[in-house]
Amino acid sequence: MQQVTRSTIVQSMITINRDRVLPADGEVVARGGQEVTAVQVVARMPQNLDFHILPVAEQLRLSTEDLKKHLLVTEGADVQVGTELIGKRGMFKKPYASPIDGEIYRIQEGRIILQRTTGWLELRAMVPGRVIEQIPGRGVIVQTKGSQIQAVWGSGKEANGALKVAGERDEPLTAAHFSIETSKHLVVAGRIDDQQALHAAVKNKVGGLIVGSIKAHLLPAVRALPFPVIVTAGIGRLPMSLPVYAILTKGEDREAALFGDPATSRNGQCEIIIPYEDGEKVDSPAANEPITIGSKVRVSRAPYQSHVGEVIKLYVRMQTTDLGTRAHGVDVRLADGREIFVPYANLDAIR
Amino acid sequence: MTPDDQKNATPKSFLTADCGSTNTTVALFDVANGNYRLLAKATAPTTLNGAEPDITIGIQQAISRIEEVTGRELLNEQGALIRPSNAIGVGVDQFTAVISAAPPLRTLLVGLFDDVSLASARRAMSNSYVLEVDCISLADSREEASQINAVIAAHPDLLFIVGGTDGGAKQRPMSIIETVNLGLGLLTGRQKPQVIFAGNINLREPIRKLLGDGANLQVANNVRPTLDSEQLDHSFQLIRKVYEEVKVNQLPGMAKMRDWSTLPVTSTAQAFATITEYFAALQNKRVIGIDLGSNSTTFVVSDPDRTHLSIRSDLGMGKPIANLLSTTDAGSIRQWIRGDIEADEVEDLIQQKHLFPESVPMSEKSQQMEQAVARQIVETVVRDAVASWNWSPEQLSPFNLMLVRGATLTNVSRPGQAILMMLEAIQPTGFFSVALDQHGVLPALGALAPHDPLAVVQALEGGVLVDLGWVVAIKGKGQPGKKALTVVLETNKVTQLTLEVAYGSMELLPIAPGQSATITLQPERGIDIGFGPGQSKKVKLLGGQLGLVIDARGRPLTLPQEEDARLDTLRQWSWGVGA
Repeated sequence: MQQVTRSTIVQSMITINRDRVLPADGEVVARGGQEVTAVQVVARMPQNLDFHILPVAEQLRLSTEDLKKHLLVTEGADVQVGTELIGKRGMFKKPYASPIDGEIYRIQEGRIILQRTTGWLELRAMVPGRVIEQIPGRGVIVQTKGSQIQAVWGSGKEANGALKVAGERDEPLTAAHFSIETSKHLVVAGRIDDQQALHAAVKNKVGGLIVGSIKAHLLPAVRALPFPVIVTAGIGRLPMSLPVYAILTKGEDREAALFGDPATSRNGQCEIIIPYEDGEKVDSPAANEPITIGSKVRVSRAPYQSHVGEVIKLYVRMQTTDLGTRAHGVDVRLADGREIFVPYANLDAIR
Repeated sequence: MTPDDQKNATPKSFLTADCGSTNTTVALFDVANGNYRLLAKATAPTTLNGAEPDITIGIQQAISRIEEVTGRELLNEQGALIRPSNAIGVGVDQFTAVISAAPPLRTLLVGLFDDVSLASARRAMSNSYVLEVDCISLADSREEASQINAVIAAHPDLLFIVGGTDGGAKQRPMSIIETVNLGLGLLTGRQKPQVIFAGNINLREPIRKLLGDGANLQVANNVRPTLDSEQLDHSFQLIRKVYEEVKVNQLPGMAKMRDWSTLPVTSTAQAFATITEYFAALQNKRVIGIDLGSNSTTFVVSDPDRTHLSIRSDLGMGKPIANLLSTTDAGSIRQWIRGDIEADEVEDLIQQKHLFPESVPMSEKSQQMEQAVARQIVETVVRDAVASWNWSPEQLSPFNLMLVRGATLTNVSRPGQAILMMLEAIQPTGFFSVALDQHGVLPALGALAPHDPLAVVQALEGGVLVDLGWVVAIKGKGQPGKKALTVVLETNKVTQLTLEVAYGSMELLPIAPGQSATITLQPERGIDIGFGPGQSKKVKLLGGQLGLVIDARGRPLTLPQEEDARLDTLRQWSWGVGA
């Protein structure tokens, strides 16, 4: 029996194909085969689709047909605050003017629909590399090489910056971890337990935070922070797993990219990429292969949550767990030597 | 008998697949000793994510596991199902699947009044996997521009428009629909939603004209033709059809799965309702069913003449689990936990489970929290469903049988845990039995029932469900610690056993599965066990994994405020049923 489980990429040197997609249809500006820098814009779209409705016919007591006769603008025209929209001065008490800067998006059923000018949402490459594919209307796939760590949660933003390891992998982040050296950096620590750590991070103007875990009650506050927060192990008080911490420690002071916004990837993946232009090239990790003896895995539930180990035995039949429930699963030898049965449902294959 | 008749009369083996959003369960049924039996079942992760999503891969994995366990060859070298079976038992004759793996239908509801047409619309929507993403109505105080922006932001798959009694006023509903149409006009081609109109019959043509020829408009009977009447069946059908076209048929691998299927692919909730109806018809009494899934929760109440179905796509034990925190605080969930666990740990568990929806408890603490969350979800779903049907909570009881599905409710350490979760979530009263769908095959049998009822009857009789036994749950006020009920048990092993049960307690009389017993229940004055206050009842019954559970805690259940007393109370109740 072959069993495929959830999997996570944790690799120190591989070829990485990173999706860069807009949250909605837009304009792709990077070409296939083009070399891009981390800050280069690859796609863009209007920042938001905010429409303003003017019920002109109703307000001016005109029929839809009469309105057409008096219009001074057409669909697609740019307007500013004060641009007159309806002609025949003197017919009305005062000019009927646009209340916003924007574009006449549509004139329909006696209403003028204005789209507010909101600027552009510009999607940058975030990593240096080559565009290997254009995703029509949405973005590109950028290929680079370096370290890749897929995360379990991201707060919804992205950032570039140099990595700074501020704490041990099982250490809660506190104000004491921040200094001039961490300012503008992507700060690595074990976990976030309280709001004070977040306040200190904001005060220190960090570029982003990478932690093993975070308490659930802090998630709404973290989403509102001006920088991304990436969680690699889970929710609660969990240490960062050893392989993840090792890669981040090795990459200290290097430029890295935090992808904390699931909307910028087609599969919603949040991750950390540390580009290594000088490293030797390694192939991409294998596709998600079935679990076999020797597979490297991470456990997703307490009491072994975020522990890493190796599969040492596969079972064909369901097993009775320590709790007395029944599950298909495998025996895993944890890094500390303990051997435990883990249901497939709680296995995360590390690729 | 012609050769064709003979062929048709030959019992057919069948494989069923239940494709949930997290797991796929496949079961093999065949004739053994003259009757259909469940020969094997296996579960594998549903394979709709990853680089090559295909729902049939998970089915194949589960079938492979059945092949390993039974030694029966079911898949050919190309991984296709071998059908029909041959003389040496290779392959299978029939394959049927039920499915809840597709994402819910994002639905924007448009109507007039919350307690009239919108209430009816929501009842119609609750029969399918639907997620209400926004509602635009007369009660909506947003400006027109905000409403239009809301239509765009909602990314709806379906616009469900209701409102107005037949022949009633046109102006107000048309004004709202015009606004929504402006929003629709701003959506790009591939975002265009399906539209179902089920309002005032006189608005059909104006709406057709307004939306134009390019709209994907379907018209259903008015859900509220008059203020006092309701007709939902047509809307049920159209919503289900849209769901199937827009969501189910888009799942990767669906075409292949339909090729394998000898019977129509059905929604899991619908099939579960069918099997619940089957039990209600068989017993000629009310049967209730709860299916706590990963991405949705289904509650069914079947009377011999009518079924009520409520599907909640916003609540489940997988990804939607986090939605629970928008209506319930972690402290309320924690109060039902029988261990020393803080509210923030419950919140952590909920968010972790949101990220790892397939994961299962590995520690007692984690299991206690997960069961408390399950209790809260079931309570919420049942309470809201009962209210939407305009019932009082008491109207749910009495019923004769409770069917329970979903891994959190059925894959428990001790059967008492399952019964406690259900009793504390639903708080039913009366005398009823409880059966667990531990093998996860009930909906598949429901899908099969209209086509091969004999096979379903025999499979059920063959013990495909786990009978927990019977529950007697009292209502009425009593003095804590004072006698509420006397139970006399007579079996062929025990001549007579008399048990006096105190008000406020939980007790268990073990009666082994299959063992027959006669029970006499004599409540005290003012205490009702479903036959009237103080009315006694003598019944013959068969035992189950638990036997007879006596819930003398009264209704509604209340917990002491003081922490130690709360824990003591919960532990006493738990010990009472061996949980």
